[in-house]
Amino acid sequence: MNIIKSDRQYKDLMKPGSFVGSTLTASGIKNALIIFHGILGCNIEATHFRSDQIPGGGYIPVISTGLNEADCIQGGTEKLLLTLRTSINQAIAGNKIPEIVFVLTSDAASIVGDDIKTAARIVEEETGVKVIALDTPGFAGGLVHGTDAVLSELLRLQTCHCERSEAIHPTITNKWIASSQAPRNDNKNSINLIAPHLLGSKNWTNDTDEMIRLLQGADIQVNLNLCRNFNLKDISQFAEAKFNYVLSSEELRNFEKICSDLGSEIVSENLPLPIGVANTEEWLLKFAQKLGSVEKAKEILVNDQKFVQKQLRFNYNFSWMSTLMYGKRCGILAHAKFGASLARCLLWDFGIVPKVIGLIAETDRAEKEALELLKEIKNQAEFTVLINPSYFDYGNHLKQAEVDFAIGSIQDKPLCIGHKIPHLSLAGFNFFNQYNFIPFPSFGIRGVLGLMSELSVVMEEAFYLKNMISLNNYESLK
Amino acid sequence: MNQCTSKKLLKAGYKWIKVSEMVDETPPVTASCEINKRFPGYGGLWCKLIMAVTSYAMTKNSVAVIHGPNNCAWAVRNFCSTNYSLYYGNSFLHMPTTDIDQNSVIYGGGEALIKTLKEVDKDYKPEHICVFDTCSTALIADDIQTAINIAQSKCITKIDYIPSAGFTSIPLGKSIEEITVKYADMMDSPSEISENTVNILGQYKEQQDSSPVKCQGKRDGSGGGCGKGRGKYPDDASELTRIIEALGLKVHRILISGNSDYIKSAPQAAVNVISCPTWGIPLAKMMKEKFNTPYLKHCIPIGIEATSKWIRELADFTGKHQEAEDFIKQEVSELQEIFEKTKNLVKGKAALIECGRNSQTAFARPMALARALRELGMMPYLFGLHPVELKAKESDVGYFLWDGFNPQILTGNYPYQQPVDITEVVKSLDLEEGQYVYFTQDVFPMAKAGVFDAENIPRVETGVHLRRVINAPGRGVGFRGAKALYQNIIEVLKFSSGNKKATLYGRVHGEFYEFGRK
Repeated sequence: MNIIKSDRQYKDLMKPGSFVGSTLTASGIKNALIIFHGILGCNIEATHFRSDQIPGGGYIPVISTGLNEADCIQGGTEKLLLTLRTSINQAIAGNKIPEIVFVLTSDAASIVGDDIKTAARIVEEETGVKVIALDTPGFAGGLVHGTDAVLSELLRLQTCHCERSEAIHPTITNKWIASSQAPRNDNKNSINLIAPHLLGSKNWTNDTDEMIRLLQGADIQVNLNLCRNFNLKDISQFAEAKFNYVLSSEELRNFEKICSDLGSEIVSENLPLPIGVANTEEWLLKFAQKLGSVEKAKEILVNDQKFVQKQLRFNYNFSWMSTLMYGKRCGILAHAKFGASLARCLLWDFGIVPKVIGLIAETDRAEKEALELLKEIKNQAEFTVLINPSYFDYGNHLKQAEVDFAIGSIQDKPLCIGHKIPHLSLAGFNFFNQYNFIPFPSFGIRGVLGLMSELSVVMEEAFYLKNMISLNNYESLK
Repeated sequence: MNQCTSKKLLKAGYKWIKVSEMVDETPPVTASCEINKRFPGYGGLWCKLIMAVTSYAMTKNSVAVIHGPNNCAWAVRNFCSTNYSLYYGNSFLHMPTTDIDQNSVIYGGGEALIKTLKEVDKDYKPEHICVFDTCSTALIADDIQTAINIAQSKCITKIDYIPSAGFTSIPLGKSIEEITVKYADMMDSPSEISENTVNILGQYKEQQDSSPVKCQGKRDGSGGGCGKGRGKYPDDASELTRIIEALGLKVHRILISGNSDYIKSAPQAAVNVISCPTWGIPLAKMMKEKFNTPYLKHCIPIGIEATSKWIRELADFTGKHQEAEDFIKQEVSELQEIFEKTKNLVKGKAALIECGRNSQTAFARPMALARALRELGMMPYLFGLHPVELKAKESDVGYFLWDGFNPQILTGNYPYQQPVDITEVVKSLDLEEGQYVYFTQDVFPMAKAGVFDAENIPRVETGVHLRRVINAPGRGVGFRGAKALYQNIIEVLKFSSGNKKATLYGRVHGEFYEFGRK
């Protein structure tokens, strides 16, 4: 295992900014409203990524303040106040009162230093609707920074809700506060899933659902999923979970500090993501040993095994494709934990050798844990690990390694096409033209069916000699 | 036809007026206070950085250095790597960033830029580097040109700079105008002019090269009018090249395309012709000013009449009258039957042309389409264009008005990125089903089964990125574009008149089953 870490000043890798992380998190809260205080180029990026929460979820409006050049000189607080008041009052008039409003900034507004906190406080007092203002420029950090900002605020709400007696607006009772008194369950072996959108899978919504199904099957209660189809009032139940499971292993510094203050633990064990059979078995049984029922975990695993075997045993197509992909070489460019787990899955489950593994991590913990996971396959295959590589470096390593295909996100597809390397998008986000409309996981035992289907497509691309068939077409010799 | 605006649109302040009137009554794009007051929430669509870098993505063997946070490059990457590359064939654009953080925002990022440029020069060994700044580095006033000058002395690669801070020049037309002229800075004064050579300006998204285009198409539809590597789905430049070569002229450069040397030598052409006016006219004017390269006025020739005018203007300039008339006669005669058939089907109908749906920015293409539809005897009505975006497209407006084309357009205080309800647009024109055709330009076309769907309302998709017709250019220019447009119109009319089953798209947004319909 050869590990290369760039020492260059420049960076060219997948790293959406803080406001994208905060938008993705906030748009997983039902009945939320996002006011985007920034330049429209940033706004369109945020609204595009909001799309990730839409399939199987909800549509959370992102309303722009329409900051322009003059506002960047003279300040845009008045515009923010106007947008907040107009948006909230229109919502109240239409009886679609948001339970929470987020004001998110991008770079220009943050540098100008508009007083977003005061604007939020003023409008909150006027309308009675909770307004949270967060400074989330791209220069402050990436997805993790923005995610941390929103999650931390949610926990602060949770910790201070008792101090707040009543809402100001008579028709708005801040439902989440009013209903936050009674505990929902008394299962002390439950966990909260944290930041599923950082998972690194383009199929993250369905993959998270599968993880929940498996955990529940192993008698582990999933208390909250922060934030996917999340009811804000449920934040009061946050501390009922014994553990918080940060799916990506990225360190959410402020959030974890508040968790610690609340006596709520973070899962510290370095578990692979449940991609493929071997990873899933390890993942679920370790969770079950700690929090649930090993017997029940085995039961659901066996049931899923039967489901998968029913599809694949004595199946000529499965045998053909499994044999074709065996021993082939690939590259991976993905979020650290997802990439490392996928590399193990490809090698163990399919016999595909991951020759180049590009890991993208924003924090040291994610990087460290991914490398630890890869240590388990270092004696089975020779491969190079690139930590936060530039696309240029990654492409060059793919060429040198003579991989048959590469797995990444849609954004690096043209890089691979340029190098004449077939490419499969499994990583990144759902947004921007990932055409999978079937709500089926890539994770878990059942997910191997999805993975097989996806891998088969790239095998066809790699090994069908389309150009030659076209050149040799019937009429070509006439 | 009564053009009294329906009550709902009237209440919201909308009205049908001529394009020239909408331009006149819209405040200048620099009048921030007035714009803020009249169009609260308006702030453009894409930022200047996105437009600047995506234009540079059409160049070859180049590296875009983004002086700003990594996120800014990532925002551009989404467009470059998906839409622009995968659908238009552009190569993967490397865009390393200086990745400035909170410290750099306070202390400045000049040193990071110098270091990055040196590293990029050494690692990537590109033929050209262009620096793009961002909101952050512009607001903190980094001295980018000085940093470039310092780095240039240590670098082999030529480094240029396109100012592109996202908060500047927010209306799309304005930002494009400022970006496109910067490519003239990358050109050298010509030592000689090549006779009978033509540059095509105004190419955006679709990377081209100077490979000659074969006029003869293959039976599978590829080859004819197709640029190298573009296969069955040619671009506008392919069709314009076919025309230029048919006149016995040679295409010298298609801009923006090619590598640094290709762009540098563009002023050697005898004349510039224009495809898209938004990108083409400002660059043509700048090349005229800097290199005295003449340019022709006709742009974006969609339809037989517009294409013929575009060709004749070129023939007038180059003295290729006979070749032009022979070519036009031949091409028009081949189109005559389908033209007449289409005309008979649509004459007297209204053409409802949406200017970009959510984006509210498209103008030149809808106008050129409208002009072609008028030729078919239709009454064009444009809607969904934000007034500020129209105002920012000075060159486009000037061209169409000069050409005597000034159709009706729906003006009003468009809420930002919220399309007007087309059923209300229809009501405002007192139209009945069967009296109009809906022309869309982008994603999210209006469709509600049971009310307004392709099953009952003929819908023609004309967006460059989504409309793909074998052997016809994306924007529909030239004779081949006209033929494809007529074919599409005939097909959608047939679909809507003969087929009474709603599309899935319409069902998802409207009444799903027939049994649920009122």
